[in-house]
Amino acid sequence: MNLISLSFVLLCIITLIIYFVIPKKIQWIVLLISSLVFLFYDNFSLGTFLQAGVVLLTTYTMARLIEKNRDSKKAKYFLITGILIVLGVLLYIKYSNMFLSMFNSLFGIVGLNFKFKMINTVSLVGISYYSLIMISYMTDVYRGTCKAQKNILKCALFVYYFPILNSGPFIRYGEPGGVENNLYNGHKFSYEHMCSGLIRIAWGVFKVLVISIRLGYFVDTVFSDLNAYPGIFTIIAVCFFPLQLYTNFSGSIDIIMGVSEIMGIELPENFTSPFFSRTITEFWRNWHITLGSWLKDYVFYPLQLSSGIQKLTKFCKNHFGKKAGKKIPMFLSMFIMWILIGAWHGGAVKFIIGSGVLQFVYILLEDLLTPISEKLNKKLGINTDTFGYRLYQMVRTFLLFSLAMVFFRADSVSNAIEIFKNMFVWNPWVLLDNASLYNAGLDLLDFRILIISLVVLFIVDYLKRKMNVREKLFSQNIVFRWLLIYALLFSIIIFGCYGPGYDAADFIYRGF
Amino acid sequence: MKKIVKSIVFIIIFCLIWNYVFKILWINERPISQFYKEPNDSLDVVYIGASNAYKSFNTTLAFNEYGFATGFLADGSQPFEMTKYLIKESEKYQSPAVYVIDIYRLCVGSAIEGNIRNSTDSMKFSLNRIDAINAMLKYSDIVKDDPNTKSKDNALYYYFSFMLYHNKWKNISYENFSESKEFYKGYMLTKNEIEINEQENFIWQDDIQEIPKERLEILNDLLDYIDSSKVNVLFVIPNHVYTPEANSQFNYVTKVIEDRGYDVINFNTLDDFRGDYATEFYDISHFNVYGATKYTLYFGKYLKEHYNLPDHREDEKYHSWYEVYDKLKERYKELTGNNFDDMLSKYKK
Repeated sequence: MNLISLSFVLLCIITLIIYFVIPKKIQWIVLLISSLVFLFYDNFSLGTFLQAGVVLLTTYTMARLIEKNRDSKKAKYFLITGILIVLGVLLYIKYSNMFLSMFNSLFGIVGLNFKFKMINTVSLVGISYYSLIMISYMTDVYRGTCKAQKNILKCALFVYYFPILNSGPFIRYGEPGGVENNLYNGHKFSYEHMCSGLIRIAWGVFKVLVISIRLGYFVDTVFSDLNAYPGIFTIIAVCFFPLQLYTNFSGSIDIIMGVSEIMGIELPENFTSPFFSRTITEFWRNWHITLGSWLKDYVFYPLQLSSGIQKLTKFCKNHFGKKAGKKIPMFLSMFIMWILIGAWHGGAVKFIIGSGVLQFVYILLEDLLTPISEKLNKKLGINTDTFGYRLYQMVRTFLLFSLAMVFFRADSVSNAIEIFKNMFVWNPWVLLDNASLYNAGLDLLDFRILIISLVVLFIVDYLKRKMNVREKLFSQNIVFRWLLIYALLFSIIIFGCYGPGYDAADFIYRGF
Repeated sequence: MKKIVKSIVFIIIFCLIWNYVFKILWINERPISQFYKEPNDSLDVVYIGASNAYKSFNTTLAFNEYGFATGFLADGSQPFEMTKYLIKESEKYQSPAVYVIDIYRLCVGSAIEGNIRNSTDSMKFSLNRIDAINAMLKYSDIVKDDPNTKSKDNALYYYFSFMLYHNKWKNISYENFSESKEFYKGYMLTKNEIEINEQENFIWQDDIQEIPKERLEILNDLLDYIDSSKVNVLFVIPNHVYTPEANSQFNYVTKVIEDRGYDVINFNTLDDFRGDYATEFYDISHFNVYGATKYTLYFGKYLKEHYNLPDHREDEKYHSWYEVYDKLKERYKELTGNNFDDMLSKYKK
């Protein structure tokens, strides 16, 4: 079920009406039913039912067993068993064919005339999201940061809560505000929440339909025929793709957050104006925040505390000094974490390079080069506390991210290399020769709408760093406020890319 | 309470803006949209058919000559299966003495997307409109060619036409904000309609050929509806150039309709009326303004005499008919350089 579809709108409307009509005590049941409808809407079969059932039962049972045996060694075994089963199902469903084709290539290389047959698996929507949520839940129970849920249906609601199955964000059972308070306790209808939620939904839809899909036309046109669109075209497409990804992904998150907000449910933010980041490290603190913090808490820190890394730290301190001794193991843990981020996006080598290795390399270089650049700036007398310098840092971060995203967008690593090569074709005159520039999926009017929309997006993102934009909007007088809201709504209706001739607004992160 | 009022006001303003945007940006002035502009219960004749209907019958001329008011529920290549739903639509607003039903599209042409859209886009949103769309999707060729067209999502694009037209902002121009110079109480007068293109002389044959089962099903469905709704109808076969196949199929259709007790006028077989193929057509299936004038004078008189239609010429409520008639005459002069009344007087003789 797509977030921008009649079926999703109907599901939300029906859910909301019933949710606010029935007593607060049983509101969570409505959420559970809607979540199951969403989960099985595209793929309902015995196989998918078992798939969802097995991991839910495992998570519920293991969490309960961990809690019962908290003081014994058994708890650890139950946690490991739970993680292995959930991870096993995820790997089998999403990655088995990737591994099989890797083995097949390996057999080919060593001259073996044997090939595994590909497995026909059906993936439920949001499998990558709910699997990690299940793992974090069992781990939190093991760590004692939250109690195990006694009601399996409530546990099902937590892991399969429908809005987040599309593109996240990752929720945690024990986080502040709490699932108990958010999902189970129920909420009274609030006019303020409704208005605020609806505006957030509209803003999300604007990002997707007006900006993201329009950017996609250009990007898709160029990347699908690199020979026809070399040089400047490829450079623009490379720069457009992160914007397309951002508006698509954050737009879907806005819709998800908006729907939840209407019901009084608070979800953690997943983006905080990432393109205003001045370093890659800062960028990742503002981009897909919940995935980053999940990996930090459940991969990076446990790795850092593991006996192997502790031993390595000791070894490095003895051989390379205190500073390097601390950093080498940290970077090793970080490297593993980034590989996992890349793998989470689909396991293909291009994802591991684009969303993993390159990001790690950037952060590593940042750490190594920052002291040098600071010294250099000091020596050359460059004032870094200026708008110009900050802008340079933001542009640099954006460009670095854009280059890494070439791997993410490309069909394969070799295709990504082809894109890079294509960027070096010298044809700047196409910028002056409007006819050819406006022949790559977007005409002049589309470009105008795109530029205006991007300016609005960046203004809003900039303001978001300074204030709560929606609160500010609601504090304005009614005429100005309504004017802005009508402008937003009619921009979507008139300038949105939807209807016949357009592909349904698909969400890039829905595939993960 | 304050919040509820605020929400209602917000929605009302939204609808008003929507309505304006919809009219300006998405929907061009069409005969059906002009039909809705007429006051309730003000029309004496409702003419249903395809383009040959609103290019043949000059409503303001008929009003000026005979005093009755005619509205069109017609659009370009309008599929015949729309007829039943258009009568239903008309009955919501008007109580005409007679429905003139042009059956040209029962035997000629098939429904493609544009044809379905032409008619239904101008209709007001209602259950009847949805039924009309469903009926046309059921019989249209696009369904046969493309199974996806049957999908619910695709029907949605017809139900909510803004989903297709929202993109028309790219073609917006001064024309979108100005009054239509094409339609005059539904009758169409443009550069095309003043052209004289000689057509091959056509002689009607008496051969009979059955129409496909599906077409007969559509016709019978309409006749059943007319039986039950008790509206007055008159079927017409317009004066055109036909293929031998269409000619013989129309003979069959005439028999079916007459057997059910309804009248059919075949304008190709009358002794006292015939369009001049040399001077009164602009293509094989459309009269030019001269043919339309001749047709209106003849058919207007027929309707007046056979259906006892009232004369509203002295009625102040029908003043707009004179205004539009004057605009039509001005437009005729603009297009041809000649005086409409001079041309009219020739035909009246």
